[in-house]
Amino acid sequence: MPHPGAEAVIAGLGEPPVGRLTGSNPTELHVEAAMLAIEDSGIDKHDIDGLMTSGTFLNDNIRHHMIIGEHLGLHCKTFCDTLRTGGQSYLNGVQIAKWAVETGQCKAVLLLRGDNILTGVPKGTGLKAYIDYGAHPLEFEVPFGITVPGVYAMVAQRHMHEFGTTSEQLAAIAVACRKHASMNPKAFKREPITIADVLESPMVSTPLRLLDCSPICDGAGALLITSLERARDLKTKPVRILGTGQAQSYYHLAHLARATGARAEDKARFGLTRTVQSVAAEQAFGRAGVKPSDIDVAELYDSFTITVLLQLEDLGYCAKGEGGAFAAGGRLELGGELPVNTHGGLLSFGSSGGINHIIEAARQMRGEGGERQVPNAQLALATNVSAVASNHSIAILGRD
Amino acid sequence: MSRSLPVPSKISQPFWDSCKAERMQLQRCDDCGTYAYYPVYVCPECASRALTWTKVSGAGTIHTFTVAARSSFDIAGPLVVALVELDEGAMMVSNIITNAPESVHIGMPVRVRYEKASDDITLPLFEPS
Ligand SMILES: [Zn+2]
Repeated sequence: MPHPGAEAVIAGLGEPPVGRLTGSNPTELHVEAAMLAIEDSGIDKHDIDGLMTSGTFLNDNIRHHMIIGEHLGLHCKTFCDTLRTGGQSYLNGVQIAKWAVETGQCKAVLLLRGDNILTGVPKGTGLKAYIDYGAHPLEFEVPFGITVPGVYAMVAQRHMHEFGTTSEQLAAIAVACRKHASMNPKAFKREPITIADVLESPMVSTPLRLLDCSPICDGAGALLITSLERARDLKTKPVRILGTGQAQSYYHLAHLARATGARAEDKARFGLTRTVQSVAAEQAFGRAGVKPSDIDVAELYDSFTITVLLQLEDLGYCAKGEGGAFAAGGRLELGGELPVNTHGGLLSFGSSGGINHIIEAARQMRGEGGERQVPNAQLALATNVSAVASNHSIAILGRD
Repeated sequence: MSRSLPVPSKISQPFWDSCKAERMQLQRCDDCGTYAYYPVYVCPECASRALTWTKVSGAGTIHTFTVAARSSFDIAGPLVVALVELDEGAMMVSNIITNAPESVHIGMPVRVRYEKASDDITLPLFEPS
């Protein structure tokens, strides 16, 4: 444990508008998010000596952080990197920033995300760009028509088969996210929807329908992480990072399904419907010294409705197989037992990547949720997931 | 778009050659008996280097699947993408070729059906058995 005051906190948030940002440029989005976080915290930019970005979808650069650092005039960093764990990068980055600050490697770390995959990718070229990006294995899955919705659909299909999960139960997750987005003026999709709307939306890949899938969206976000003692001199209320965790498994569905390579006694714990997030959760809850039921608000990565449902189980909110029943009946809505994605999530707030989940969790801990603030919230959970339920990072945040 | 066809590498060439010969082979671990797929340098279960290309039956069952409403390929009919568990234990992502996609279900027995995609590449697809 770091000495009191040396512990890392979130001290600045930057969240430019999301949505259809015609004419935007990914570098511009990064810079805008960074400037908002710097202004929010009131930090002298010369005190920022750590920088993490996560690259962009098109025109990617392996040293993307160098480009952004130069645009921001961050001359000498004592730690920087371009994170390569996809949508999971941002809570991975929070954990790395926490280590950097608490070991004294950095005074203040800026963690950035920005991209314009909605308006920046020419129509009809997205799938080819995705394949070129190498975001999914080329030789053994792509020739058979694998798509991102398709693989999550295969996970959902398996969950339904094993546990009797229904489309209505999945739809409840989309409805909760949209309800919260309707209270968020910044959200991309704000018109309330019903379970029937989800069930009647066009089929994308059985059993997932259009409203089970998060929209492609432009957006950005920034977090400034520094020590508690340094944050005391800044403008905003610090948000504690009480516990973090991460766990990664595999790309290939076949290896995910079989938990290939795991110890024999561990194989039954993992599969398509049993992710290694349970391991990340043990770490994060253990380090924070709290349990799932202590959490007041949960910002759960929601690329698809099934992504949330799996997490309800793997985080320990309910037994494996009971995620569908847990998600139904308004439990995930504001006023329910576990308000989820109070900003609207990827499903309705939009943006891309998981940084906005962390921003919202921190905002709730600052009590700045406005109409969607969870009253008296003391503990927030944020999760990031990527590469089809295989890469997971988690943080538990607390009010100062 | 048409299927983006695999470009075999040194390690995967025997697999694609066996598909082209319509006698699909996977690597079997001499030490623990695991059938590996995709092709590997060491057994992913026991780390043995002793792997032998071994013909498989081509029979299996569907572990999970999805029917894509809009195929990403220019092929006739809906595209059924499935994760097939071979009788030998290995799993493969492939397509189920059927006139009745609504009848596809988890646990359904399937067998390999080779589809020549180019002079070099024959894809191991599956059909209900
Ligand atoms: Zn072996």
